[in-house]
Amino acid sequence: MVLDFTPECGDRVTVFGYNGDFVVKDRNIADDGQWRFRLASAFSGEELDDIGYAKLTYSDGEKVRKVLRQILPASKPWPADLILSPDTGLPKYEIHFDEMRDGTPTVIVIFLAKPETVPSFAGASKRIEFYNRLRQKLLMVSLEAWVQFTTKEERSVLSAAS
Amino acid sequence: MPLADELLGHSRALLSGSPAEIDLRRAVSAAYYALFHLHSSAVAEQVSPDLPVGLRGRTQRALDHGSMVKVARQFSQPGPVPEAIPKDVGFSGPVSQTLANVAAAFADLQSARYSADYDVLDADGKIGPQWAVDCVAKAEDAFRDWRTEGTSEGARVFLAALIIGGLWNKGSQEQVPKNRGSRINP
Repeated sequence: MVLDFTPECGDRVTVFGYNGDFVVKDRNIADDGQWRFRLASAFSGEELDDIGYAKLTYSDGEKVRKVLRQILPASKPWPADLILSPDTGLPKYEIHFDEMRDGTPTVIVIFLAKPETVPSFAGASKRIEFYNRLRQKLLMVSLEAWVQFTTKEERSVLSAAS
Repeated sequence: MPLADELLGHSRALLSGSPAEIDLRRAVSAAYYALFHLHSSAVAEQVSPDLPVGLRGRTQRALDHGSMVKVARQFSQPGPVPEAIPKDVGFSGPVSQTLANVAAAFADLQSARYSADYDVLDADGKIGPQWAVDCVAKAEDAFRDWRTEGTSEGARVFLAALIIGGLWNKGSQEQVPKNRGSRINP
């Protein structure tokens, strides 16, 4: 699977020579016709300006986000207990980052369960089957990170309901 | 009843009724250890005789969680044999989808267990009933898959790898390049 590499505002990228992820804040085409980017560290907020296209690549989390956007439509049936995003019509998820104990970076994809979903092993098994299918499709992309899938309740909804 | 099965039953029992957060956390931790003991007892059975009586127990204790998760990640992709496995082992593959699912479940659950036991802040907001049920169901699926896969050739190599860890090529001319399989960071 080939990902079109055109970082947009809000995308997370890594920068040659720097540690950690950066978020694209702004971009413009310079006089030489090449893209230049203004970036902010996702962790410290440190800003980098006038960074050339060649120094950037997508972070693993961004790759997962973009690939999911491509493969989710073709990964039906979706578990019935997942919330669908009103914007995309796809199952709604969050992407988080962590490290395993041995330092292996981990991308955690957390799908959101409908608030009325009663936790059940039958429901969980269907989700796990779905997550295994997604994992297989993600193998087509080169990733350094371990990717995990799981489910959570949408806390704000729960709070509002209580 | 084997400890692995008891732990799996315990993890499920902790989720019955209206479990408190501590029950969710303990259920996830028990689910990981259920899978850990399933594999560690299988490793011991494969590499140690049943006499003297204490040998298998000592073999289980020799396993290292960190090494095991690295092996699990290597086996989590169905298809070609992981590069870390030397050719002279004679396993030509493939790693089956079922074995890959078991291995991936081990890696996922170990990570979840660390969250359950140590992630007090839960910044991701994931620690809740759905997450816990997912984790326990994942362990149950892995147990079920292991029943069908546990005697395959791939499973035997997987079990051997769990205890050999990174020492496959010790004393051999064949060395695994240090950076194989990982990106070289600038």
